[in-house]
Amino acid sequence: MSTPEDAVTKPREGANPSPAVEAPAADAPAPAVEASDAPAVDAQDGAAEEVDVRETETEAERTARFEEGALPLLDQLYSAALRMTRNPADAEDLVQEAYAKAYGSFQQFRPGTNLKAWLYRILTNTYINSYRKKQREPLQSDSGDVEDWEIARAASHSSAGLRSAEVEALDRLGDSVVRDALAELSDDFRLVVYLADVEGFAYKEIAEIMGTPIGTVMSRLHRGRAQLRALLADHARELGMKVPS
Amino acid sequence: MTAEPTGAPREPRAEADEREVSQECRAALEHLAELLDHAMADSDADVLRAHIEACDPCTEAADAEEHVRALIRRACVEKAPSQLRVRIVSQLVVRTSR
Repeated sequence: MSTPEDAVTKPREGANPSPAVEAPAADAPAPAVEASDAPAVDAQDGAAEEVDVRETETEAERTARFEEGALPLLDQLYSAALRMTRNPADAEDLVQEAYAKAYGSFQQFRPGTNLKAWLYRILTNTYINSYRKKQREPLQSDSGDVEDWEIARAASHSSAGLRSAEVEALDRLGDSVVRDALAELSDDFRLVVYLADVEGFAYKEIAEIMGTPIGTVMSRLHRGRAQLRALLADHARELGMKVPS
Repeated sequence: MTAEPTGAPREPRAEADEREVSQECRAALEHLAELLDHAMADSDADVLRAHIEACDPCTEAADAEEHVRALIRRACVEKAPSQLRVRIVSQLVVRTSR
């Protein structure tokens, strides 16, 4: 992992620094996701002092605070961006843009609240506003496959997911099969499944990140998971694994 | 593969599943995702967990679901290219020294 010291000396060749110096884009989250109204449960006594930090710190101190909090999440945000865009070049640009926006609105982030969720919200908004439009939608959300699959398994113990033999087959097949299956989901389903299954965000957090009602999150999650598992089961069988059916 | 139940003849899974599904199992499977998402009230979660622990097919279904989630997580772990880190840090520097 490169250190920040290495980093400063080697800006990207030909990179135009202007995106970084622009005012925070309009789609950066307004008064932070859960910054303003998040219950200060674990902030408690420290909260008042931490909030003061924003009023008294210098710009350099704020930058340091941003780096300390946000940079360790780079690998995670990049992984998410890669699942969103499904291509490394766009994922890099998306993450860079999200960091620029996050830094630009960092004063709106209330210290002691959930920085990871806040950054994910910026990443998601940036993706939806800037990247989604130019991407192909791979699979229609209302595909009938899931229904069929759900009906077929409705009365079995595997109705909640894959059979254990299938999971073992997938385990042997490797990560690319899982990534490909995830890439086949429509955007909304893919994001929700990612945020829940990979990042472990709670439904409420996902609702805040995606700006949708919690009921929408739950139904998309249910259908997205079912769709993903149906695709995974198909892949496991297609690839000739010994899956009893 | 997992160990065979002792003495049980091997039969197609679907048949075995269907025969054993009870109302309780149905409820457990329906709420399994919620349980694993930590999205259930504690008392409901306790009831569900008690059933799953006592029921082999439900235990297997829960294990399979946890396993598939682990596979999905594993497949999605990526490392950001070092160039990207460089670009992000340098754009912060540009802003700060403005």
